[in-house]
Amino acid sequence: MITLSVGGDLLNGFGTVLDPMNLLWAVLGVTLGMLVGILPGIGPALTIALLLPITFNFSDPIGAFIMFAGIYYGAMYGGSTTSILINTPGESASVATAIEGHKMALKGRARAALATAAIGSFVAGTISTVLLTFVAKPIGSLASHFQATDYFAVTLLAMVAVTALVGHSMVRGLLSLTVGLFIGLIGLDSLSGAPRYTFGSLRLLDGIDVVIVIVGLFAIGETLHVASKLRSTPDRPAVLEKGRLRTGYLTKSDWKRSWAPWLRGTALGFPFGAIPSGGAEVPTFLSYSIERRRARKKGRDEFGNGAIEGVAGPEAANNASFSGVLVPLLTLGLPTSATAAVMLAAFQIFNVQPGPQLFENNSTLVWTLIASLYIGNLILLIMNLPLIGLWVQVLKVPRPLLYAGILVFACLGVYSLSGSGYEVLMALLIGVVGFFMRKLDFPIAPVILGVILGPTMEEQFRRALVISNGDGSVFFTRPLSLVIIVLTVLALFVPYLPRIVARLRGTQPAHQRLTFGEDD
Amino acid sequence: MARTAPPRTALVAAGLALSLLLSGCSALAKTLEGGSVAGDFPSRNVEIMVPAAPGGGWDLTARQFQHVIQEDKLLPDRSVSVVNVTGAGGAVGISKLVTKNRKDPHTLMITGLVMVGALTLNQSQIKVSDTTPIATITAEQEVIVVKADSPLKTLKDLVELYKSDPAKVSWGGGTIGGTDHITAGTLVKAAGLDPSKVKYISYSGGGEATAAILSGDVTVGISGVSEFEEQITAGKMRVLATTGTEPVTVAGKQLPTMKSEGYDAEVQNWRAIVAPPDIPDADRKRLVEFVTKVNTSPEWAEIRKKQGWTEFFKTGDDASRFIADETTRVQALLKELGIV
Amino acid sequence: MSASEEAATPGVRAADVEVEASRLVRIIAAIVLIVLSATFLVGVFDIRSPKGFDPAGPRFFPLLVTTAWLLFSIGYLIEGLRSPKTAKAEGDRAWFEPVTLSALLVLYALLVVPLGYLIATALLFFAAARVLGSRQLIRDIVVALVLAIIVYVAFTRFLDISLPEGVLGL
Repeated sequence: MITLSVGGDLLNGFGTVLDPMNLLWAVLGVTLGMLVGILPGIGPALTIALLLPITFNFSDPIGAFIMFAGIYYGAMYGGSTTSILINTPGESASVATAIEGHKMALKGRARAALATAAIGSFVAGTISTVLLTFVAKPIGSLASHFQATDYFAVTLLAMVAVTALVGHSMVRGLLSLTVGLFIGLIGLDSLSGAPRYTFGSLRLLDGIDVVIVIVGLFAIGETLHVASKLRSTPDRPAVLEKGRLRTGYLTKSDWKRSWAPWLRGTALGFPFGAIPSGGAEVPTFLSYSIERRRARKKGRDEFGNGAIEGVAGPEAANNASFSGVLVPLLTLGLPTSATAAVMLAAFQIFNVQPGPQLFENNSTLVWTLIASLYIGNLILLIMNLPLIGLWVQVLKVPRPLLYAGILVFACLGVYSLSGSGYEVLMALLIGVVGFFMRKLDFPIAPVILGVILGPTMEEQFRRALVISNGDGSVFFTRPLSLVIIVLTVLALFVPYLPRIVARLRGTQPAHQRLTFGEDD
Repeated sequence: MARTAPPRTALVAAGLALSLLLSGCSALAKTLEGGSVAGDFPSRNVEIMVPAAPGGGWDLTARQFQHVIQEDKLLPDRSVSVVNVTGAGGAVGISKLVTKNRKDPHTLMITGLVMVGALTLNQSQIKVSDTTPIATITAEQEVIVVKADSPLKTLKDLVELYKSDPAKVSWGGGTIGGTDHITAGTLVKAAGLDPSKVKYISYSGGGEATAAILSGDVTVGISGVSEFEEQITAGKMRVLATTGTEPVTVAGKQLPTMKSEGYDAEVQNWRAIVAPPDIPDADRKRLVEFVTKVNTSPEWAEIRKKQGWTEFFKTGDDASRFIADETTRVQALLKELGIV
Repeated sequence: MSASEEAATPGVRAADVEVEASRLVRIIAAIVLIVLSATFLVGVFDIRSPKGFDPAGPRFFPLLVTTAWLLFSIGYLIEGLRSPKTAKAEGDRAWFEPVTLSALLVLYALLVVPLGYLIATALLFFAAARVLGSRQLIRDIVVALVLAIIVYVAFTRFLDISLPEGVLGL
């Protein structure tokens, strides 16, 4: 790696971005992304798909990409904001954030939650962009070594996160997961072309878009749930703990508890973003479960009740994964997430082909894009910390108006997926399921995990088997897969190890029911 | 470029009673809007429907088409909009075209070989030949590649390996039953071997397929030339053959075709523009003239060159016949591949 | 079950457990889940598969998933049956609001294209706010109209995203 020339190229990139006009595009992009992303039920991926066409009007691809990077960061932060304040994530990457973030908001700690998300995003975004700057090429070539068995192993590892998401009862948690896996099965089987559970409907052949599932379960499900409790819970304005902008709305102890999760989240987000297994979901859920375990080990288990670590980690992971996703996209032309696929389309509109030649052929464009990531991150932080005071006012909106508004935007979000009322009906159906899940105390997040990971897991598993002509040993003979599978097993059992050892020694009276009903 | 991103105006007949009801409503609205009396094209604004999401090949074709019409002012006083109707490999779009837009010459749709495959796979009642074909417009060549360090040097090596043991060859490409899959089947058949043994691994797009080829997961990869061009130029992939009649040049090197390698086979990923069924003959004629004007525009030639599309222009009855032939061929082939 | 749960997670969690549904509702839910999963399990046999139940074929995962679903549903039924009969249920259960809201959404899905985005959305917002307990007529009407207009104008005029025009033809 020729670091010197990287420095020079990057400097040139900064030169281009800092051009006043380009700076304006960056600010405009962040603002637009945030404004659309903050609408409940409209997540980053959808925001980008909605806003991407604006950049097509640019004659100059550089301005377009600067704006695009801004839109992405803005949308991502906007999405986290609504997840935290009103528990309506618009995409899978902010589901983990919503779990603790919303609990914090309920406890009056909305400012701190938003602040740790904003600062964490900045830290993670900046570190991962540095990584992108210097290690794009070596990491990119690593990504091209991943085979079907390895992908499968990665999805297995990610499934471990479910243990942190099951909530109060293992049975209900696993039921949620299987329902999610089932939803993922609906549609045309990509490998054999056989329709599965489509009930003869043309619409179901494409499966159910994960955005519909998320908007249905969260935004609509939550609204119905709130509606059913109107009479028993009076509408009182949310309490809001005071915070000071000067300290970033975080107390000393918040800072102390946040910095390590930010770094760990970054460490998870970047590499997981860089391997082609679907972007931000895997690292955010993993980060959540790691933070939860660490907190418990320290005997401080605030998780499930508004733990700041549970916001700091996943948010950092989410943001870091974006730079990670750019690695295979720029160096190999491989889109590894939905957003990356949209970006690839944008590149192609401007007749720029990402891939091994990109750094040589379009050097200015690439380095400007990378420089704009640094700038976009900074703009986001500068704009958002002061704005936190404004965002939290959302909590003061009278309940009927707030939830009526959530319904309106949820409908807008799913409607714009394909421009038909069909999506609205599907989201409502899933919303009714979400309503009953809330009534019966089923955890929601495992459903999303199932919908996202299930199809990838199955696809890669079957691809590996077809390629090996049905020889199941491939999962254990490839070193990379084997390492990841061993990690998975460790991740599953290490937390129980002390207890298992104790039990084997007979030092502790055995529980009547073993892990069943365990909360971990 | 004016973009009306994602699709909007209409509901899709999905088999649900309610959507039927709705289609009734907006069909009524359409009729009220201004009559489709015999042969009045172009009396209203024209809509080009893309039966897929923005960003793909059909979408690009439609938008470039729109671009040329606007630049060259081929429809004075009328606007052209592009509308995406996604779902089931185009099945949702075409079912809207033949039911809701019936007799309306102002709604056109982009279609192609991929839709023929998808409709066969979905066991759809509606076929591409149920529309009124106006013209086939472009074709893209497919390319068969291996990873640069693969022991397979020529197309013959590949066929020989398949002959010795079909299980040793895994073919990576796009959607099952799509152009790439059809290419694999066509080659194997042309070599006189059994297509039902083809071990086809489908990927969700060119990017994913590229990853699988570079990681050595699949033996051979098939996709559109533009999809692999970058990797071929970078020397990471070796081309065994392209699939058209005319040789293609990538990075200054002329690539072999299946024909030049001694296999009598040809696959073109053609794209066509069609109108709804039962439009007046006079309108069909005018539409053919109109599309011909686009096709002969220098602007369009420029776009074709830039996108790597070859001219593939057949109009009216020629187009109908071609589409009917392709449908028969694809249906038979997918059966032989054992997927329907 | 809940005994070991409490034992495993003392402290904060106990207060957090919100038993909203009565024992009966949980048992009914479990039975619904069992029926659904069993139906889908049978449905596995309808999946077109040249390879039968081969792990590389299209039936293997559905078989695993629906079987697991069925087993967990049975587990949930047992959990429900074992739960103390005195489990606290929410007093007056309000079904009116969620059912009305759902009906509103169905209407919205049906009407958004023919009526147009503006009118349908303003109506949805207004009606939903009323159902959700708002009693300030003027405010609700004003907010509904302003919100619908802002969204419509912002999306169609500034962002170039088309939303149904409907009867207004704007």
